[in-house]
Amino acid sequence: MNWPAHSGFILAAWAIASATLAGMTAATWLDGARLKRALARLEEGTDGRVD
Amino acid sequence: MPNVASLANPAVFSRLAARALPWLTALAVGTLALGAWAAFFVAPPDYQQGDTARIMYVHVPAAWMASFVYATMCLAALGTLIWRHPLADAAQKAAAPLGAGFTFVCLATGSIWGRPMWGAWWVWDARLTSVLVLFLIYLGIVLLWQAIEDFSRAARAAAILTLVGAVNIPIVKFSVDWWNTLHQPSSVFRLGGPTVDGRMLWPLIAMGFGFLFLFLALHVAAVRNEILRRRLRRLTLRAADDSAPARPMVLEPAQ
Repeated sequence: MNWPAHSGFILAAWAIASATLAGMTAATWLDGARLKRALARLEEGTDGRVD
Repeated sequence: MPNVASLANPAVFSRLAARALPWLTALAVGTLALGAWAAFFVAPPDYQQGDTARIMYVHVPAAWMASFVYATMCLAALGTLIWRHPLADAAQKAAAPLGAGFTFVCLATGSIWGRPMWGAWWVWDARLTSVLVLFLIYLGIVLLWQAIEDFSRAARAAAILTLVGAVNIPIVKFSVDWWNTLHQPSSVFRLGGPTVDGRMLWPLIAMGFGFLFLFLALHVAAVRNEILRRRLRRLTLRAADDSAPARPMVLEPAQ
């Protein structure tokens, strides 16, 4: 394959952008999953008495 | 269809979020995949920059989102300070790290693009400097939320900081017109229409929508997380109250 000039720069820019967006997505998803688990544990402990 | 006021109810918002999230996620994945494919396999190389211009397809949408997210936060800040909308502070808190992420992508990809084109990773040009200031403002807002424990005080302080920082947004936009910058002037959102060739413009617009849908999906999910976090805090406090042993009342003799 014939790589274009500055292909390292192009790949680096796309890799950083993809990694950052994937990281933001993973962080949001993991935060939600952790909160749901913690809430489920607490609601079990309080017999579902929630407001 | 619920009206806007009913969205102030966290339970209604959570229900709507659960329905909207799969659609927003599918739209984000679809438009990002289409935009990335078109950026590499449809758009021609630039006549001056060659293939290096393909960095534009992540750099420019990230720059658009950096300003768009901040505008969203300004609306939320007004919602907190003027209308005291119950979800406005949650929306503002949830948007700040996302805005910081998009601004980071804009700065990092711009720096990588600058090295082969300008011969420098960074120049203290008005556009670059104002975007760096925007990034620091985002970080400041995120840190402010972490630093103040009282939620309503944190919301007010963050809202005020957001509105003060809004002065930077027109500077970001018009810096390339007001000052003689190394950064090129606007080529899409400008009077007289875009100067970008159509074969390069539509992949750029597709990536722009991809970034927008991704932000909307992440923002809705993050606001829902914020609602869960508050509920968890309330429940934790209640559980601690219930389990605390009743203290015997001790009457101190008067001195």
